[in-house]
Amino acid sequence: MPQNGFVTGEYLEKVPHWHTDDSRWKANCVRQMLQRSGLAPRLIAEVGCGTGEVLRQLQLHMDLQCRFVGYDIAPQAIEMSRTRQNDRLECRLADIRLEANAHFDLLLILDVLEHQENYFSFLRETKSLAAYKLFHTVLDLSAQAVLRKGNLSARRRSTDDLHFFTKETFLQALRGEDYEILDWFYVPRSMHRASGVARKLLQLPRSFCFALNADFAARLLGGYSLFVLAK
Amino acid sequence: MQNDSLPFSLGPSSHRLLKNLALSQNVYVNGEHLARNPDWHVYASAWKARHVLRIMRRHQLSAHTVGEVGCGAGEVLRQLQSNLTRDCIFSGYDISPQAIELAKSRENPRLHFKMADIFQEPDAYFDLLLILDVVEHVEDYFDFLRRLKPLARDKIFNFPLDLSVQALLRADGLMMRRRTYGHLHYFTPDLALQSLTDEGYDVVDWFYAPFGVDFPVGVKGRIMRWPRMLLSAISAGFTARLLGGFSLFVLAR
Repeated sequence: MPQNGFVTGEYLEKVPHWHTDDSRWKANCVRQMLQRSGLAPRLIAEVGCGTGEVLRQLQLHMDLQCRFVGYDIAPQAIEMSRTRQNDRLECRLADIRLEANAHFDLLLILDVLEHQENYFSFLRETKSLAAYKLFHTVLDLSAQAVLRKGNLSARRRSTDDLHFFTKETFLQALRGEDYEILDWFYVPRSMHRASGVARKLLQLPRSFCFALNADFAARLLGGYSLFVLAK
Repeated sequence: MQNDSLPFSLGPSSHRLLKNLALSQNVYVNGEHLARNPDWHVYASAWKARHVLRIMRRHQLSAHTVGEVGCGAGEVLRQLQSNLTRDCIFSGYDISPQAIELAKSRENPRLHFKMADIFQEPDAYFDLLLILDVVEHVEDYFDFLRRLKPLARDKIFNFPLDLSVQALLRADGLMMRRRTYGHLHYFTPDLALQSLTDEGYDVVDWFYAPFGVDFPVGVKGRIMRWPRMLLSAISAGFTARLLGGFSLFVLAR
């Protein structure tokens, strides 16, 4: 099964830092979404927490009484999370769906859905685990990605993404499983990841197009990701 | 999952099958798919059968038992029966009671249809198994591919290539395919072939089939027919990625 790559260590070989370098901006976006919707969760869990850095970043900026629980099926990720754990931040090597009596104020599901063989059943099984769910997904489906031969299959090989989404298909996936969409926003992911002035300048056409029509720019050029708050 | 509204009784294996079905697949059981597609895609059956025969001839495949998963109204198998040896036995499976009801009128001593999950069938094994326009409807198509593999020597797949530049530029491009046809997954040729090889299939042959050229839908479809036809003469792969309207037929083992 492709998911085994997370357990066997294959994924760690492909992504040695386990996306830890993206954790800060992801945590900022989580806080931004919470502020927009006036939510103040006290018990926050994350499915597929990886090295736990998103939760650590959140802990640095949220109420001291908040408790954080991360879940991951990858032993390597949980091992890397050890240094981040404390009395109010815990990372468990477990499948959250198998946890007895698991229920949280907020469940973070960041870059997880695209790795699930059956993301429909995953959505059904996680829906009851928290009052609010906050999703993040990379919007890999774009016209420029499809036009380039082999582009999507190369992404599947390099990042183990089994599914690719547009904003429309992602929101439909949630609605199709009876989630109520409360809020969403785009994130200029490629801008966040661009290092150096030259690379940031290359993002200008994307930003210009996005300013004119965000949905069209995301579908045409890609490079964006989506945060969604749902019940 | 309760199906109290079904106008017939179900045996234990059918109940197990329905229980295992994911919610979004219910449209094939509750009649919703039939309401949206009243002929259950029969209009394209001769076209599909022609491409199945083409790939069989290219590889000189001889089959004495042919199965089809998601056989719908059974017209593809009926078309194949007219073109293959008379002793060949055809078995169609579908989870949809409405589809099997339509297929029953096509039955004969060597052409059978059954409302069943092929995975629940004891000793199901075929020389050739057809999986035409099915994978994109299955929630967990990875698991589906793994379980199909031992059921036949040769497998012929048909994937609609929904992912194209023109589909992505339209806000409703992919959503329309989900609403109208019930497609849960979308493929490029590379993704379709990669999905097969990743699940241990040996891809023997594949080719593009110009569905949008042969069956243009509406005014837009008729307009797009010409650029699709002209550009595909230069590169079918590029045309499929740019304009869409193509399917992929794959022979795998």
